[in-house]
Amino acid sequence: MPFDAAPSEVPTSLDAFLASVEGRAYRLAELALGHREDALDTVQESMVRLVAYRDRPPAEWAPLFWSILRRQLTDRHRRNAVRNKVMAVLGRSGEQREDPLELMPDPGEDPAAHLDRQRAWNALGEAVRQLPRRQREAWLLRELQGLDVADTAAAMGCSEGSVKTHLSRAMSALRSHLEDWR
Amino acid sequence: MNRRDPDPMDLQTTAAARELFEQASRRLDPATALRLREARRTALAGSGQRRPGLAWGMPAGAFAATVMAVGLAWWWPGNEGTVPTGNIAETPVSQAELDALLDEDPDFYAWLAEAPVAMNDGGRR
Repeated sequence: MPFDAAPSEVPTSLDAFLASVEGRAYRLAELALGHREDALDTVQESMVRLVAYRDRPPAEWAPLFWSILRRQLTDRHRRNAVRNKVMAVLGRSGEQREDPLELMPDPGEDPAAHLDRQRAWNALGEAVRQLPRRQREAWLLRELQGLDVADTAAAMGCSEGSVKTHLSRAMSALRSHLEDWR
Repeated sequence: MNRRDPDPMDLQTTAAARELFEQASRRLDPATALRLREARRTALAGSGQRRPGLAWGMPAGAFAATVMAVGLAWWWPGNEGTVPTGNIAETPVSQAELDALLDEDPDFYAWLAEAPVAMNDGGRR
């Protein structure tokens, strides 16, 4: 599949590298977690951890960063699952997850277009979050972030064959969740 | 069409998702963009500086385990006289446990390794 949306130039500094990936990392985390604050925390934690590898060759930063982000997302999912269980035991339904900033249109943008895009984004997020974890990781890294199969496999710590299997299953599931997009 | 060819409708769905993702990544609201810049600056400043909120973002599992341990310690009947007299430092620790601890917070354990140790005679080394 001829797709490579990920920035391909080797960055000159870690600052430049992080600046080039922060928007995509945030949106990827937001899709996976469904919560702005969690997504921001996850991206920041991933940046902090990548800085520990600043002496590695710049060409290695991208695969390292996406691998770190994937692990951070997994950790965050586990924490949220525990938190939800604790809240359920305590008889509370959990904090309000809706973010008012999401409802604010970009100045100068047609409000109707903004609403349409927001709805599509929410639908995509809901569909992605229904996927099993490994399928979700494979689909986000390969299809949205645009890593090639080898880099996706490296970031996920599995074989290229496993990535292809996860992708195929993810697409089957998304086919039914995103029927409205057709 | 060979059976390995992707379904054109799947390609269309994926392309629409990519387009949405690209737009969303380019069009961040100012508050989010600012937060990301601050996160980058904090990360690059290094030396373990974290956003204050993260200190309270302690994993819920760890918090629950701590509460349970304190509760058990309070509730569990005492068993005076059974305190082991062996040297705790001699208790073997597996390499896997050490690696897991070091991976969790390398800065803390590096500091701990350098910290002075109290001796039985009241001195420090």
